[in-house]
Amino acid sequence: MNASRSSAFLVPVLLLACSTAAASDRRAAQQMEATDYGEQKLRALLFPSADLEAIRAQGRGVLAGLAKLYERSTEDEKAVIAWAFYTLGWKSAEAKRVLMADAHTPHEALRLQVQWALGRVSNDPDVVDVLVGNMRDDANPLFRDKAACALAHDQIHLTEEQKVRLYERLIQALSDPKPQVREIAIKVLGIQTGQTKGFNPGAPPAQREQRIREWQRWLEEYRSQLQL
Amino acid sequence: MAAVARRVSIAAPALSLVLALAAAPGGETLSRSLVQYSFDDELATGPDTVAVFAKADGWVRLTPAFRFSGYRSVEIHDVAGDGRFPELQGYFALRKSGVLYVHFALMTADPFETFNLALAGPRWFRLEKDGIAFWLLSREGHLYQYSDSMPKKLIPLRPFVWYLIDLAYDIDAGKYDMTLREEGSAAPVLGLKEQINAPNQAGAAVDKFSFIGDTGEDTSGVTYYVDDVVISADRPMAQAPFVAPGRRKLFVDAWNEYEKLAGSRIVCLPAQELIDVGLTTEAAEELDRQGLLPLLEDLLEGSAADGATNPEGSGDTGRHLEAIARWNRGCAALASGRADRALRWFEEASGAVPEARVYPLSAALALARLGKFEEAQARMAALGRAWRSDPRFAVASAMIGVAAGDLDMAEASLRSPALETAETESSDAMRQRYFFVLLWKRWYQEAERFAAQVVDRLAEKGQTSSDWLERAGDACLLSGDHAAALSWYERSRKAGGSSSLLLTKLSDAHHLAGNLEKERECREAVYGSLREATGMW
Repeated sequence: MNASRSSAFLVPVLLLACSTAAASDRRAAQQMEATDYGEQKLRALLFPSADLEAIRAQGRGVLAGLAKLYERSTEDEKAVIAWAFYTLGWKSAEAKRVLMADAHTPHEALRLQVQWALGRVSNDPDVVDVLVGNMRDDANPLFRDKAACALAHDQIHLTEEQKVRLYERLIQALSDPKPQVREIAIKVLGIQTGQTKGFNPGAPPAQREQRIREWQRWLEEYRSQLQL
Repeated sequence: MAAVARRVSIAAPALSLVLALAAAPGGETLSRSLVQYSFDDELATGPDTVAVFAKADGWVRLTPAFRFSGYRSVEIHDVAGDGRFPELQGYFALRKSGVLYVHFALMTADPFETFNLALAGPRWFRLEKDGIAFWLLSREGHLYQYSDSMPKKLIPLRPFVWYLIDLAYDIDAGKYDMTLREEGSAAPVLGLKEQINAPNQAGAAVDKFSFIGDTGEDTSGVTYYVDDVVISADRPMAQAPFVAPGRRKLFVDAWNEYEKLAGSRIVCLPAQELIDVGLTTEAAEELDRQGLLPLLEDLLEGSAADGATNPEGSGDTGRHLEAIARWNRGCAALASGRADRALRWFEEASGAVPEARVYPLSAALALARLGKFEEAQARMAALGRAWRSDPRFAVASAMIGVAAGDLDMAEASLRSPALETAETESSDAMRQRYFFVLLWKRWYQEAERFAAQVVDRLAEKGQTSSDWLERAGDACLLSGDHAAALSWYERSRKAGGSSSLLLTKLSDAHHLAGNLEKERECREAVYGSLREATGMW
């Protein structure tokens, strides 16, 4: 999953390199519509190549502008803005709101960037819910895998109580009928906790069940530790 | 702590490279003591002592303001929102088994500000085996331990009270006993037995410690103090003496050993031409007609290895594709050290397509990896005609030579292609390999001359190469000509060389030349400095 993550950073660059004349025209029209000078300035910092340091230098106030710009952008551009949210790693209700609207988009580059960015802009419970949902139920195995990747590496604002909630859902996913889901769920648990408790996603059901019970006992202890 | 690992791996890859080797036992002295810092005397930073990372507003410094013993402690101060966290990171000889005893004194100014401290292994500060083994943190006024992958509350912390922490970590069991005492009190405030280590992993090795503020959330404004860090093993172990400030081995020696280790690794050489896999132009055209060229490309790139033991294709094309798939699997096995399995795949591929030349070459490499050098060299001799002057044959011969410890053979194999002036895709790699073989043969003057020759050749084309200037310096440094080494290194810096490795080697050169100030300046540019604050506290 780490290797996939590395290539993901290249996505915005590739997208920009592939921009067509039609896309440029559309962008120009959008610029005309944008009455807000700040928005135009922000657009200039993002396209044709993103200057993240300059954006970061504007401070957290820039997040609202980015969210507004996101809503006016093409899908390819949204992917770049989602990547900017990811890289900044700042909590933002506005960013979460606009990203959540694309949490099920079929547009591949945008979906990946959105899934990765969500946990870096918010620790709201519905972020974990939507990512676990994508990990378990999305029809596309790539989106399932990358949702797992986001759950493993990018839930950077979770409190301990919220971690328990995440672990609970991951442990539930160990019983998923789809072998790939069981496989990625244990990978996420392994990355988050450093252990697998011997769970083998391809083992016979009775053996898997035994390991799941161990995970559940561990979760109970985790929960009780938080109440001390 | 994951953030620590991330930063270290980005900021100082060369540092970890040097660390990986600088801890190799020299066998000069036997001692149980691995670390003993009271912070009263000057402590030179380096790969065998400590490193200090304080690149933002926070700091790590010696202070006389508070100390548990002696007259100074280390003060670590984090600043929320400054984008970084300060860190005192320390290194000791890798321990993979036995019991490790750790003692240190700790005092915080504000228990409600977060700090973290950890013992970790070669996988750095990740929550996994050989990553973080032991982890203490403060949160909301309490001290916690991270055990069995979860935070467990220990005691409420009081501000400006020294806590003495003693740990006996049973590496094999992955468990530890821990005692906490407050200063001035004989009775412990906490005594824990058989605590599960951080990732619940038996046999988790350790070789470093770290004291930081928060773990990357950038919310901590902690100021805390550390004193009397003592780490010892349950049995004496061989440790080399310090040969220069902060290091038991010169950076250039550690780096050279690392290169030799990497250079003696035997891996497959790529298939670059159709003839390598026994294909003729006509056969390739047949593959194209059958729509199988993309599969061939995938196979040659190794990207179809998993599902392609029986690839599609009929007749002769199927025979070729199947052989490439087997060769691919052999290469994967060889790369992961399973040379016997690799040899079987290569022999099968070779048997299926005897006209291919890369399969028997790979089989010879696998034999060398198995230590069957005579057989490997006999096979190489038989292959010479098929490969003629292809530089990959020279590289394969050199690999076998280095692995067999036969550097003469390696040097003889590489000499001619390395001195070739015509540029090919693999020219620079070939020259690097030749240069290193010269170093390992201790032909330092030849190595310097060769590097200088490459520098001149590049200059004729209007190019500068900081790497080759640095290599010329390496040859001089290893030969003992410090002045010449310094001159080459400085030229490398002017040509744009700025790596941590170059700085550490410059530090070596200044040390050997007796320039203590410059030695320190270059070393501290990589490892940071641990000094007492000047001016007002």
